[in-house]
Amino acid sequence: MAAIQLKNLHKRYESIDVMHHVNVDIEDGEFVALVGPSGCGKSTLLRLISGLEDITSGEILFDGKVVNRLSPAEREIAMVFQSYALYPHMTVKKNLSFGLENLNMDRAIIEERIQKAAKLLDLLPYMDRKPRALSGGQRQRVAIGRAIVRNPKVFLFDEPLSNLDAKLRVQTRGEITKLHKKLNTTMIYVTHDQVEAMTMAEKIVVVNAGKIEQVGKPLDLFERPANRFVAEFIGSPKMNMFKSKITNVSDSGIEVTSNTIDHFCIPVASENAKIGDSVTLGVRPSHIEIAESGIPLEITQLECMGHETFIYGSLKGESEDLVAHLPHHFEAEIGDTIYLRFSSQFMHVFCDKTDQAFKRIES
Amino acid sequence: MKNLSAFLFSILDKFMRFIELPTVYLQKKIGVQRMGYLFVAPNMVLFSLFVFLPVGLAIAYAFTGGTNMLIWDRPFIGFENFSRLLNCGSYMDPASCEFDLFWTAIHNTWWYTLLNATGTLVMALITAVVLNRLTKGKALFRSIFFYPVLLSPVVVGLIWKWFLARDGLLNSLVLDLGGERTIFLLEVWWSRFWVVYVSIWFHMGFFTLIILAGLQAIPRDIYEAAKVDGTSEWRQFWRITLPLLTPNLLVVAVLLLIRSVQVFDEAWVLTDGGGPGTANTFIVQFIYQTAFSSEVRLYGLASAASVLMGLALLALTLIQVWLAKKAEY
Repeated sequence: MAAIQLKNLHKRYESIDVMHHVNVDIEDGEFVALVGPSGCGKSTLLRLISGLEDITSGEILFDGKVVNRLSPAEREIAMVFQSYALYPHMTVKKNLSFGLENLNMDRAIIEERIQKAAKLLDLLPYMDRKPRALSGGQRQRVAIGRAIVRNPKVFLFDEPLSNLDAKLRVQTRGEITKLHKKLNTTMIYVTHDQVEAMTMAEKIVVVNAGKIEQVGKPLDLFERPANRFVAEFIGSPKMNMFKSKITNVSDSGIEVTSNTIDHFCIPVASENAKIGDSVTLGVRPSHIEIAESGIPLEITQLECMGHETFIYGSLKGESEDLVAHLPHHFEAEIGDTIYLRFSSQFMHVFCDKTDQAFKRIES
Repeated sequence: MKNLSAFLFSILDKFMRFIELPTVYLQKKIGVQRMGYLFVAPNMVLFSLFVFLPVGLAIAYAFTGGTNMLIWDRPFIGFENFSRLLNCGSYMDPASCEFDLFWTAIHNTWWYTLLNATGTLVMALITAVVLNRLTKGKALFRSIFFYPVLLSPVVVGLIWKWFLARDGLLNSLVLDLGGERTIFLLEVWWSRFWVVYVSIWFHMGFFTLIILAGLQAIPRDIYEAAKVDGTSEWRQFWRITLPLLTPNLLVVAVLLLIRSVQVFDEAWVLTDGGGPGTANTFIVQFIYQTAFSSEVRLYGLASAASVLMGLALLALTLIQVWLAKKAEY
């Protein structure tokens, strides 16, 4: 196990900066997910931590020791690749033992370790097969097994579930979480799927264009996004946004007015707010309620799943469509007008100049 | 340029309109499935004329005797040509054979094949591995190594003949460095060395490309996984690169064996007809001399030697197919 610190980490490829002075602390035994859209630099960050890529400046510390110049093997990390990267000409057993043989480890210890890992991952019946004779899920387990046998200080996962079908993805997600609980080793997990990040990780690092947008617990990110990017990236369907203006500022919050809502008071810190400033209001689809009267919405699309309903529609005067999520079945027709109610305690306000969120006043 | 392409397109268009009706008619007559045979027919006719027919004729000639050129003027003699070629006191001693030149050629071809195939394979592998590691100038060096492949074998033979001649560039260099003049192409072992060397120089680029393609097809993350596993560079080469490259190396090895057995033109030009003496006389040269350049033209015997050579190549190809299947991962 190892605690990891990234201090002012910077990476440049020729003239392009791909990681911008990143600072992250990962505690010993923690399960951390690096999330962000495709091409945001999350895999690069993982490769920098692994030692597969050299950093341009900054420091990577494992248990307080700088490891910038150490090879991946010397860092004692194990990595599970997106493509699994199994050795195609070797059997499952050989794939598991290859890394240990490199360490000139005693044959009996190697045998013991691979048997233990194979048992843990239910790989014993496939030990003499080559990767091409395995299913996607089995290959995935071999890749994890190859990481486990080395007893690494840190496990690095680079989008390991992206090649699996939906059902297997859910199953493997659970298996990796269980594995973390059993091994209690530091795990860093790269994914672009926020559901994976939210369900598996203890801490999420949101990466965007080579910068860290926010670091926090999954629920913190969902409930208190630091900026507009995190607010829109975390949560599915994404947060609804409306253009608005500040009409009053007081100690209890700020009052905003938009095409849809009039003089609506939201309990957020008002130090940086000025009357007349443009802001963006955010409300999650699951925080919208249906009411007898309120904000009218004309339904343009309806997704009824039986136990939940997604309502899509347009608000008068708003350019972007709105989506509401109801945790029950809702009977309506396309073209119907329904009335919505927003609860101020679940609303977010983002400054249009900085995209930063106004801090919520906790009651 | 636009006008030209429009003009070419209009010609193509006219042609397609011209053949449309007969094609539709034929499709109706013989069915869409059989139309495929019709499309490959022109090539098959040429292929049959220049490949199947000569092969068939060579096999037929191998069972005939005499010196007449036309097949119907030649008497059928069964396996006599084969038994005469194989009539030896000891296969290890060409002098004890009825056709000592045939067995000398086989012995020469054997060592040439061994040295040339091994040398080219090793050199092409080393070159490909080095080229694959280059971060800059990869395309330039790839072109440089490939360039000799574009030359004609006769040109290659002549270039090296001049280079190695009594007053050639190499000898003048040796003399400048204080060495002694060597008549490279008139000394048995030197001439054999240069025949193999020139062949490696000539063909290596082609095989380097095949191996390079194989190296580039190995996924990068397998090497990264090996790096994470703490694999040393040397072990990585032996345990990962080489096994994953085996299918390509097998193809290269068999192509090299076949080409080596077929060696003729560049060696013939370089050594002035297989000299000194018969030190560089190979099987194809024996076949050529027996059929076309000796006073008594023994077409049957040459054809029998060709058939034997063809069988040997067929065996090599079958071995390659079998090994390639085994090497699949």
